[in-house]
Amino acid sequence: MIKSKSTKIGDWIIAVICFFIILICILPLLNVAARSLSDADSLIRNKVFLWPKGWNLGAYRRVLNDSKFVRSLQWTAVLTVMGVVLSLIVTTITAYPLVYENLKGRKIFNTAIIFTMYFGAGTVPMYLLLKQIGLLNTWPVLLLPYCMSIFNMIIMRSFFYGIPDSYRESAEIDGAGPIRILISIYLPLSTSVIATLALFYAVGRWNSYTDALYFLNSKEEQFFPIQLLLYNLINSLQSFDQAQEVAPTVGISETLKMASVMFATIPILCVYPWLQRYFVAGVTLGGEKG
Amino acid sequence: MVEVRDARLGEEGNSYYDGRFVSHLAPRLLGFLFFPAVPAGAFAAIIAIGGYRALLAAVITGAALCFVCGPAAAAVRILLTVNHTVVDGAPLEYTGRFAGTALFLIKLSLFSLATLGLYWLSGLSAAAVNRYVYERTSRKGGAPGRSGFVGNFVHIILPRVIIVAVPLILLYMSGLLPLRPQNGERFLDYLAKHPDQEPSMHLWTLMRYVVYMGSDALRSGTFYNEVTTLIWSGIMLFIAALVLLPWYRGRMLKWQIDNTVIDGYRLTYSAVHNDYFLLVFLNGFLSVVTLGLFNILGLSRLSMMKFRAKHTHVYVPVSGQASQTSYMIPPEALRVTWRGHMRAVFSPEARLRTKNYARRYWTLYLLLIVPMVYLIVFKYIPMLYIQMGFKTNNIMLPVWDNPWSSNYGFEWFIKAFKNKDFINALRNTLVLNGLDLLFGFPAPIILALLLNELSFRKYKRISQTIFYMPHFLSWVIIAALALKLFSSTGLVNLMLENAGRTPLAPFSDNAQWVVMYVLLGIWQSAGWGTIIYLAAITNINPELYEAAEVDGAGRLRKIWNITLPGLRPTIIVLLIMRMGSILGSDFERPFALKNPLVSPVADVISIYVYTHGIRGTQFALSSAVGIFQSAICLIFLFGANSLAKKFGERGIW
Repeated sequence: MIKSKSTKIGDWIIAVICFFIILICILPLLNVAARSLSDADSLIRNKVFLWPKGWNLGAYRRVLNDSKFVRSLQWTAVLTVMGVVLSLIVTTITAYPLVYENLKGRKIFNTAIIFTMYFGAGTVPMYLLLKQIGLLNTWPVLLLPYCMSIFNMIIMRSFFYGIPDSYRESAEIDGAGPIRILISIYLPLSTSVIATLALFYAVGRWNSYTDALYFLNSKEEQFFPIQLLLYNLINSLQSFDQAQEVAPTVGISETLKMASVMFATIPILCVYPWLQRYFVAGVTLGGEKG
Repeated sequence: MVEVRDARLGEEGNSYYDGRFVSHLAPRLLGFLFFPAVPAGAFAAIIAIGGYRALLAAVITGAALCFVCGPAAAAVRILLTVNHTVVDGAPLEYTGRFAGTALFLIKLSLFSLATLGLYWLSGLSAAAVNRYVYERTSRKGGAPGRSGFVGNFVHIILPRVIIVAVPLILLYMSGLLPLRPQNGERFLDYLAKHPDQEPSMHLWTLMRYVVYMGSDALRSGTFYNEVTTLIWSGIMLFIAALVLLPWYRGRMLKWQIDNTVIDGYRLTYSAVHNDYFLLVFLNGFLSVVTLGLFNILGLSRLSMMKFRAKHTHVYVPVSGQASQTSYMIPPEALRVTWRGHMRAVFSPEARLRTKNYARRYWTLYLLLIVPMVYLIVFKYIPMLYIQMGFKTNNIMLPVWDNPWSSNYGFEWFIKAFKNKDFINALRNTLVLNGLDLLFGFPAPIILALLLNELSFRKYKRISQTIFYMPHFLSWVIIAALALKLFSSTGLVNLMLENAGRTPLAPFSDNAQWVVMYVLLGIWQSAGWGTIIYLAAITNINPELYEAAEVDGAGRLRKIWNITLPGLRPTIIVLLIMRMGSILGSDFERPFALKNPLVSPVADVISIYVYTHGIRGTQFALSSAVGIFQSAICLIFLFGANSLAKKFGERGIW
């Protein structure tokens, strides 16, 4: 198809607009990266724009030497892995039985699950419940209460619906039970949706600080996820370089903060582009059915 | 029963109800006004005689209502209803007589009374009425005796049990059942104290509790508390009646029509259950608002009948494909009774079927235990704590044992609305969410349109990847970025300085903070939001664009006339979801961005709940706030959804 001249000009205009939006998206992050790599003096002299002035990896080295930060990073990684595994298991075994259309009581289960998506009790009742069952101020509180997202469950269920029933029926004729069918037919066929949900859960866990803020008190600081630590770091006057007895110059604390932000950001930014194809499909699936 | 194969529904618009308001007014007046005059006269007479005979009068009045007025009115109603219904062009006719129908209904009322309501509860009476009515219904001039009702009572039991049991269970679990004897001890405590007593003794004590409750409350001065409790029970029952009853009636209607055969043709119900639910719900609501007048005048019944007839159809054969038998039910199939059904349920084959089913699927139920336990523990049990919002804030006592707060339990709501901080939080929530809706909602649509028009493939893919990026950053990190970006030495202010403008300080200026809040929201979620719109765009038929191009439509023209209309359903669904959260407040975003300087505009409801409830231990107050928030959200969600449906959109359920 031959394009007219005005269409071509339009294409270029749109491309330029998109370029500006891209800039808006990445400039803040580049700026922070540059700041984290600069030395303190240039920072104070307002020099750092997008390219680091006075290359200096000291901030990163210092963050890596900060035991509290590193422990929190490790703990968050462990927590994320545990959370993702737990969430995926719960989501799968919720979604899978609902695929059986002749399962008696399927509608009731469905309704009971979906209802919680639209109506929740709120944070205070949850707080009191956790207090009563003794989960408050213990680390499992970061895993259990929000271990399944109904929205993600719907995505998985929709994906399972897309797997032809005939696969299941032929396996049933061969004598396979539901669990066998799940393991050897459904799960291998749904690696893409599992990857998507794993990403969603991992991002959710990695980025969340609310539950720790609500349900853990400061005595449990060893179990603070990285985001809460960052929050405290950025918002408190006594930044952690003071605790580390480093001279509290503005510039150094700046680079340190920026370096910590980079540490908390990079793992996810490294992962998500590779999964883009999957999560786009996942969101679309959830949007259609939800 | 014969399966219906190769058939289609009768045409829309050929089924209707042509009864008038008057035809519903008549039986109502009969039931509510005229017939009670007789027992009322008797009642007045006996009262005049005086003394304990008043009890007798009450019994006579009740009996007259149940056994004379009710059935008579119902019989008139059935007569009128059937005679005014047209199914797929064929007017129906009721061949039974008024007296016979009334007698039959009286008989059923007696059965119900004799079995202490069990006859009704089990659905036997409903099934019997249906069978009786439909055996006497035929198309005008059609053969009598070829109509009937092939359903049986089993389908009615469950919904009935649920509408009776759910309010009771709710009441019981919420601790609302005021089972207190003279000494103020609750029945459950009594049970715990006397574990070794016989079950029959427990029953006896329970009865005593119920009987003594009223008099005890009056005597011991706890009357106020009991009144509060009663009001709350009333409210809960009211909710149950407005929600459960419509649900039940919708279920029954579908079941009833689907199991009806008129002159050998099976009827079918084509409406969605939810629509009928909404209708009955609205009718119930209108009735309550008009103090029952809407119901008494028969207006509610009329609207329901119109709905019902409109969605009743007959299966008709697809021309040239199906034989007569594929949609007609042979007369002998009509003789399905509940006895026959029970025999079928408990037959050896059926038992084998059940056994095979269990053997095949028990693992699925085993799997479902995990999510169910999760939902009950972490979603449904917290809902029981909601009552805390209506009780006094005594942290020492368990929630269940806390007494009701004053003002009939609304103490905390009143306090919240008198609280300046809360009003402030409410205002901030509305303002921030409103601005988000105004600016944040269209942003992904515009971005998606832009991306869709981008014609360089690789460039498009890379931009998409980069647009999604901010979604993966946590609000803590975004707040840190913003803090650096807008600091006096930050990127933005450096640029402004170079341009000779005054620097920005959104972290200390209220108005600037609000703008930044909204902009950061767009920055974080607009790219991610495009996914769903882009998917919707790919579903638009490409031929439309080609046709438009042939007609000489330009780029903007195509966007306006093809792409945007194609996106409409998606936009509406997302808008409904948005409306549902107009008062719901995100916590992470404002909490990460706020600081004490901007708290007059940044403190939203979720932050209020956090500072007052979880950190301030004012659990009752913050629960009340949470309840208010959830209720408003739910109302907005329902409202937006039904509004969307009114305008012919699909809605979200």
